Amino acid sequence: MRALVIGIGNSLRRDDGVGPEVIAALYADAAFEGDCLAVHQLTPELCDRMIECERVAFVDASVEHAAGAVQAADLEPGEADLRTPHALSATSLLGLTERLYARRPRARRFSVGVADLGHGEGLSATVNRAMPEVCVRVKEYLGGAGAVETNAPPLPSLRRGCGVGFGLDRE
Amino acid sequence: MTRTISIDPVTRIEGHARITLFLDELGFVKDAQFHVTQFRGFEKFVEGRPFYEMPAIMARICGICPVSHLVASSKACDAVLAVQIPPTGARLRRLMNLAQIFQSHALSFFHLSSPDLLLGMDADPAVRNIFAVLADNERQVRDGVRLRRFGQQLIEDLGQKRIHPAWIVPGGVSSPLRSEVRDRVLAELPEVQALVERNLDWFKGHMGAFNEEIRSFANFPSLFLALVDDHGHLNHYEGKLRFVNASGQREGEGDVNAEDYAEVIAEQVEPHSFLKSPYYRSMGYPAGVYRVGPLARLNVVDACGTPLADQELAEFRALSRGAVVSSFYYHYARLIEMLFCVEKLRELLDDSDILSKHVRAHAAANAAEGIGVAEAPRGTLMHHYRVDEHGLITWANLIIATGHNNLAMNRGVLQVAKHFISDGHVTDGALNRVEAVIRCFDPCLSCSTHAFGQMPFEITTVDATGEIVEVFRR
Repeated sequence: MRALVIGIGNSLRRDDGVGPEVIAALYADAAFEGDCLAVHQLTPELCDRMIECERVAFVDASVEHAAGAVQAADLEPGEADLRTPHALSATSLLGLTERLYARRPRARRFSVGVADLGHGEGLSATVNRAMPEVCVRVKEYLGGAGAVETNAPPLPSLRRGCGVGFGLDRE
Repeated sequence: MTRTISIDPVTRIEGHARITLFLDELGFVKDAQFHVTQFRGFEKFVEGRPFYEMPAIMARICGICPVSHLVASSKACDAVLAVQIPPTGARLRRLMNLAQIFQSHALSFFHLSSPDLLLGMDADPAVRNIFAVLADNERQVRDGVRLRRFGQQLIEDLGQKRIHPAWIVPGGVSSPLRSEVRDRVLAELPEVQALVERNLDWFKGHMGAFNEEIRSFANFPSLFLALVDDHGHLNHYEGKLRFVNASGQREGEGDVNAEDYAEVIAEQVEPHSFLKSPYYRSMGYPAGVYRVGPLARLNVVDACGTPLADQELAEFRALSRGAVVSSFYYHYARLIEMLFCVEKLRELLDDSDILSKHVRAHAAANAAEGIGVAEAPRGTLMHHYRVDEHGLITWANLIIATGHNNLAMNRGVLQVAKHFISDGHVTDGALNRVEAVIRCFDPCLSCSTHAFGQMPFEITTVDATGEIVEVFRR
């Protein structure tokens, strides 16, 4: 089963970089077989990547949860905020994927409560302690099965073997 | 009674901008200004930094076209090193530059401008979003997603990240091309080419629906500037500077070495904007207005140098007896350049030398000054550095592609406003068109136009005494 984890955030803003940090950790994990992608924001072309997968996990920092808390929520496709491609949410990205391809992966968002969003590299101690939990829960989710078919026509020709897309600000 | 209409802020941009429209007593637009209201400061805060840091720093100017800054900055550093970079290093830089131009043009055409082109300039802003475009144009949305992904994926494969890749460095590139990347891209190019051609055909078949916009969108005589190679061909990576006028004739005494840009280009600072206004020096300011970018490049070059793009170029040039001067045709030119990118990528990747391991020259600072010029998606980009004996930056000057177009954008806004606004009455369609003419130039301020059909304008109308007459918000 093809799986993708997308870590969202800016690693130059301390805990906002938790998404890319999770990507780095999973990428370094030889036992993890999914695709990894670190991005600053969600953009429409990610649909083309997501359609190749059956499950997608989004990892992002959150100001709505207690620092270090990890909250998971299954995502349903939405349309509300597609007026600008610079502010796509995970739900709108799913919605776009479904509209374009009559098919979408199952998706779950993992939100990690932040302690520090100041300028600088590296996670706060609080968020850093949450990293193992996030990685375990992401891997558990991506080990599940099944995309969501919705009146699916034959799939367009897809490019396989996209490999790992991986980008952190630290080399 | 004169009135002033201020469109402020132009939000969600890379930086901030405002548009001011000045109305005469009869309510007709008599002047317009496009203000860039944010100061970036890159030219100042890099002073004291080691020159070899410049590419990585300068790439952070922009999240849309960082590769362009990597190319221009690295070329300036090459000059400081006083090295001849390995041919494969240059080819690989071109590869990434082409990938970026391709994905940037796809973003501009499919994501930023498609609602204007597919839904119409007068469409209700409430429905000017990708789902409205999707409703009747699903294939084009899918094409745009696919094409942008192609370009971004190639950047990522080369540089390990799609934004601010650290692969283009002083002296060349940091690692050779992997054969599996080459093979993958070559295998994808036929599909990508077909999508570009399909949308190019669509545009050519539909541009007749925009005759009024073609007539009024920054449609005026001006000079055009671009790089040309030794054959006079389109080359986004290197070449000499060439100006042509609205008649399509070369301006000046011949093509200018990029390092001598200051002999032909001067910059003016206006109090109403942090964006400088470059102009063609010998014509003075503001008569020396010129344009850069896809439209300019196709006006300037003798040929693209690839067969399919050259066929399209011939058809493009049939639009006018001289240069093609309506800025609405930037959209057309972008699609032709996308086709060129496909052909050029294939040409570069088919060369067996592209896999050479010799991709970088190494040296210390050997020159006190370096100038790097390249063609970014939006136009000619110039990085100019001076260093001390330790290789630390003492002075930097950047002329950004969007800056070259500043005067032209201002005139374009005025032209559109004059055409579509009368009696001081500002309709939503008029506002859309003011946005749309800016989109034609695809400026690096274009984040403001990323709202599909709805730039969050606030328009304040004030009378000659400064009293607010009306506030219009969207």
